[in-house]
Amino acid sequence: MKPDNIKSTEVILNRAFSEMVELLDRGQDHDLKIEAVDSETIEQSEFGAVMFSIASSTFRMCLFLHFAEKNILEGNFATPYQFDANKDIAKQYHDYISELGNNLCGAITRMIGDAGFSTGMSTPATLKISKGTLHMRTLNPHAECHLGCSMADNTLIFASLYLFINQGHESDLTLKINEDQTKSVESSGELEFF
Amino acid sequence: MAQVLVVDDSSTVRNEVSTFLTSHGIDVDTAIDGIDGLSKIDSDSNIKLIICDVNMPNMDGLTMVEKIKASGKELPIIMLTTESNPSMKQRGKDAGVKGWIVKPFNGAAAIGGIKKLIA
Repeated sequence: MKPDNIKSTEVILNRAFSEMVELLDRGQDHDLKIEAVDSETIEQSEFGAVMFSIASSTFRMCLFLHFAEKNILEGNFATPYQFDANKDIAKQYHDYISELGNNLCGAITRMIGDAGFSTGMSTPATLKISKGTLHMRTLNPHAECHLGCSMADNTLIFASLYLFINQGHESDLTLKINEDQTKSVESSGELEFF
Repeated sequence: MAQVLVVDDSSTVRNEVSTFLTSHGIDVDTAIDGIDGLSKIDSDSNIKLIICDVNMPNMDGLTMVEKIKASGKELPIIMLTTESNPSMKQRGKDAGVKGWIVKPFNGAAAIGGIKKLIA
């Protein structure tokens, strides 16, 4: 396995996850910490998860966002989205997490796009309990990276990114990501007129 | 009777965008996918602008845009999406989309353009 691809998988998740955590925080100055974790820690958590897939002609990626519903709700992170107390809170909460994951997946596809690959991304699939990491291990990924975000020693979210290189491309794929770039996209949120 | 129709399968995005626009005095209606969006456009002649996601179940945003244009309606449309790949944007341009916003939505950065389009 080329070291470039392993390093790039880590760079991609680190950068995109940091952006997603900023989005979760929304300038509210929660004391959020990001750190690398191992997949066993995630498997023991029994968190729920949303899963996305990213596909190109030469490789696939699977992205999991594992989340602790109770910790996130108690941290009042959802306030900017104004949950409606008269509607099903759990449903709104899952939609909120899926949208966070959607932004994370979007940031990843932009970085891959900047590296010259054309990709498509899926819509989120919800998993009741996060056993996706166990399944991924049986598929022997070419690279993987796991990060956690915590507040006051309570883990809120884990993210896992797996790289699978398509058969026949194991020796020629080089996923080279620009490590100096600080954001997946500088113009995020701005209206670009055509 | 809405000025802006927000089409997104995520209730989080619908709430965020419509709350922001309403706070700026803009009347907003929402739709959950392209099919719902087409139905709302047919039933409300006051709609002046559509803000629309790309990836949605049942009918995606770009298909909805193509159907609106094929029907002869000249409504300005802005795509609000995590997608930013050039081929996707080109498909939007070809279909007559006026603008593109990469999520997450930043109301302060977009409001000037939105007001211009509904003026």
